[in-house]
Amino acid sequence: MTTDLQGDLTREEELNTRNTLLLSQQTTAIQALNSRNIELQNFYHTVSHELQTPLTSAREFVSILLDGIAGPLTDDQRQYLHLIRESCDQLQFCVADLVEATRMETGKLGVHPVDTSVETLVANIMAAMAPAMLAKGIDLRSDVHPSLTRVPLDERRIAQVCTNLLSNALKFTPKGGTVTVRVCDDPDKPDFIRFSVSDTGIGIAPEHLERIFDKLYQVRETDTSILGGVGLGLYIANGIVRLHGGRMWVESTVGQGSTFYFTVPKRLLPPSRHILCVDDDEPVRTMLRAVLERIGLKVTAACDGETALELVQGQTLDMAIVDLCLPGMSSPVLMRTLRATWPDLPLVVYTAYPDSQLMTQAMEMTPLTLLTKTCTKEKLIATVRALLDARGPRSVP
Amino acid sequence: MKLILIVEDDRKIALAMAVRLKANGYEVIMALDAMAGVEMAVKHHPDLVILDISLPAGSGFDVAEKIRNLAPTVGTPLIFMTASRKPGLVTRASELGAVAFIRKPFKDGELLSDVRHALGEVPTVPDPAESLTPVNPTSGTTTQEKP
Repeated sequence: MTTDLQGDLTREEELNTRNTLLLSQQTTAIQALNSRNIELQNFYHTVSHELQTPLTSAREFVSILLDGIAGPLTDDQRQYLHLIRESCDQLQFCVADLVEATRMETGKLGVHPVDTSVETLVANIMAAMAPAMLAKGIDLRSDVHPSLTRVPLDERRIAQVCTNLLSNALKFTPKGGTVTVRVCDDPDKPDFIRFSVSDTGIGIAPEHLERIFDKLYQVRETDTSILGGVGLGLYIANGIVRLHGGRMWVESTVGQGSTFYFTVPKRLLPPSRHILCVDDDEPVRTMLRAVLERIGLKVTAACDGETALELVQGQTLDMAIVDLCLPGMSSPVLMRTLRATWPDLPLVVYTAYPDSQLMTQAMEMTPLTLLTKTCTKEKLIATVRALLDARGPRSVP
Repeated sequence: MKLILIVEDDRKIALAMAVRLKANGYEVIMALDAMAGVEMAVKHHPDLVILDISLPAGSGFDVAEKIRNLAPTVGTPLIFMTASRKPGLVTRASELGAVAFIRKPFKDGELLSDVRHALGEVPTVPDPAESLTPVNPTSGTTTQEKP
């Protein structure tokens, strides 16, 4: 018996040592990944700057020649210079996509929804795309449901999404085909409107459908020289839709065509929704405040649990985002105190170390949502929106 | 003839701009770093200064601050240009009184139009299609960013 007990104890000690080692390795790995992520983002910035500088002079000298500043040109010379300028523009667009994707991942790309006429938005997009469609012999149609008037949108960004979808439709639809833009109430969610872009093009094979919105993913079966781009267009479009609080998806049949759908909410979240953010890291608090205020939430930010409780005392509260590792009052104690005052309060644990032992204590406060600090701004917004949408009556102390 | 100072460390970009501006009747002088930019501005009293933001020996913002604070050049209109998409640049340029902010690569006619506007030669006309054009055909990305 004694030997068995000693054996158990030894095994437990071994397991504990092993656990500590694994946790430490994991922490090091997470730190290395975070650091690698920052390096990668800096790399994108440098690459885009270094590519755009020579492009600027190349494009400007071509324009100078085309404008006849350096003397008259023959028709052939003019044609070749136009081709060079088009190539410069293609490169510039690829660089612009890289920059946009990086800004999105670093939380720098924001949307600013204001009341927008959907009809005017679609009319402008149709006017911009019509010449290219006409040139390829494609019938471009639109159908905007008459009940839709004004919706809070970032007009420039939603136009960017639609233009991307229409450009893809243009590329993959043969001459004589049809491309249709439709806007209607979302049949599944009455608080949303649904945009769709349908084409009668080559369609997308089922194995590509799931990954088509992934960063840098391209449908390799197609001729990439026709496809163009670096595989960021749909990734960026999807990100913009998510920043609006909507979602994007695709339905397609090979040989028959594809329909890309996306939704956006008809109303912004009510401004009275109140969210508490507790984090001892000042830049994190500033980021959370900026992101959440932008989607219309009232934000109270605090550096520790004691300050947080003092600030929200007697107020209505709709959600709390709590850093796992706090100075002073621990996060599990803070969350327990918050739930005692605001029953059913949605709690989000926001951490860089989801596997720390504190998380085990925090899990006692289930239901709670875990968000890692490496998550994107869109993921943060989508999580907050989903929790607020799912929420019933408000928690009044 | 109006005198324009270009402060740009990339010789090829500076030369292309100079060719374009000279062809349109302007006199152009160039400086390839921040320090030379300030010296030339003080010495030649240009009617307009076009500043790249990333420069050796300082930044375009440093040059702008000196130009704004030195008696001979105070009130000289400034145009900033950059290939960087880092946030906050437009705000800083605007704080320094920039009359225009150009992103590289330039769009057709953009440089000349901003120069004419800065020199008070043409009235400002808002572009009704600005929100939609120009558009990246692959992602729909617009190349102009709202300040």
